[in-house]
Amino acid sequence: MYATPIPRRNWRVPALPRPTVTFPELRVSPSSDAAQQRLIVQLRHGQEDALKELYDDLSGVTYRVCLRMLGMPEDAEEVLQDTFIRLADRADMYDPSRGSVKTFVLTIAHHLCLERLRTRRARPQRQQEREDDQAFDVPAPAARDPLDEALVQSALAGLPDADRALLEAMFFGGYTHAEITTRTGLPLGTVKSRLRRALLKLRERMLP
Amino acid sequence: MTRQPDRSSGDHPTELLPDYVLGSLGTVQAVNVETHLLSCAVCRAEVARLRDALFSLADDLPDMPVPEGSWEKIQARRNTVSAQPSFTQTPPTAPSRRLPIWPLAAAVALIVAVGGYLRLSPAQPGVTAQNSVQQWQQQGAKRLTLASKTGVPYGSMYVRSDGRALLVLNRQAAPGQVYQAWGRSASGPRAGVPTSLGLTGGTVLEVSWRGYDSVGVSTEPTGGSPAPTHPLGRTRLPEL
Repeated sequence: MYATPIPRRNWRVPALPRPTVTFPELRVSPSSDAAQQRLIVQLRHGQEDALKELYDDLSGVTYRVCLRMLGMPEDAEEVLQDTFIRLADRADMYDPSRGSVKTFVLTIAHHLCLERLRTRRARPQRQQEREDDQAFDVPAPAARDPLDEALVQSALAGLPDADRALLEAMFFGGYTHAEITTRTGLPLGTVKSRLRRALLKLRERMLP
Repeated sequence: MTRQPDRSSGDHPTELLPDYVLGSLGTVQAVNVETHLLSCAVCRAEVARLRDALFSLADDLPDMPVPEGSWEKIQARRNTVSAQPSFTQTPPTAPSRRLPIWPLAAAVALIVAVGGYLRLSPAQPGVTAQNSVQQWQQQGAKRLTLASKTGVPYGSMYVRSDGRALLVLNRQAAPGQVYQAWGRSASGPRAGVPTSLGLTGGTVLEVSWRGYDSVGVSTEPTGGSPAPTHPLGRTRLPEL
């Protein structure tokens, strides 16, 4: 059973003083994907130094994702370690035609984080926590609700709508479409179309 | 709303790919897309771009220093695990239902299908061309000439019916270069896509050819490459 939907007004972009912030540019990795692909090949062939180089390149972004998803530095660090241990074991599974090395590494981290979020969801909460959290059947992994946090970030980034906030709630918060629907009161079809629009917008900025 | 494949772009389900990446499709549509992806490099590339786009959300997160000592902890844990071989055989975790991980699943299937990638260290000390060839010939290996497209030989390949092959190159690779062997299958979802079989800084390389129709060799920078950059030629495998 899901919690009472959040009143729609709460989904409006908060009336924060809006700084002049443009759509964030993509960060340029210190190493190109081609160089990282070469490191994956080296790792496949047992060259241990390659793992360290990949760690140096990608541990920062991986840790940021883990911390954002899990909220707790200790958990994030554990998953960071798990990610690179798993990468070393599964370098054979990387296929350059199916995404960048960074996406491959972040996919591993993302799945590990989702596993932890599901475990947290399954864990019984204390009565007091239930009473404090109206949406007790939706995971509250971080100190701040990622859904609300995403909205605030959306506002700070100067985005015209909450599409991206929904995408971040799904991606970082680990919310299903149904959970987002319940929490926002938006119809499922609207949630899907907004997620799609947000993804295509991200896709646009990756074009040369 | 149920979207049908976009007929305006042939039979490619282009319109469904964003929803596929977002996990928004129903089971039937998702399976249809996955089936299509197995044989369509164009849509696989688009899915890769969409996935890269989705994960680019990470690029906008605020900087945060990685906790000190994490690398050392990883090394320590790997050393512990390597002392317990059974742990390294842990199967992949179940795929998430929120985001598709067909690239991983497909890779697992491929690895199972071809018997796994061969892990060879770049150098194989103690393996000489002469004693290896003699041994393989005694074992009834079939000898093939490795030659370029123009017919210039650059080595030999000894093929055994147990799925193993020994590549013997005529001369050492240039300084800073290695030989890298590649397997290709003529049909199936990975038709024509070279898969690395191993590399050597010397002149002898043992590989697993099972699952491939031809084996080729290229010269690559030390450490090898994800795809052949300077192919020397490839040789069709015999029926054994």
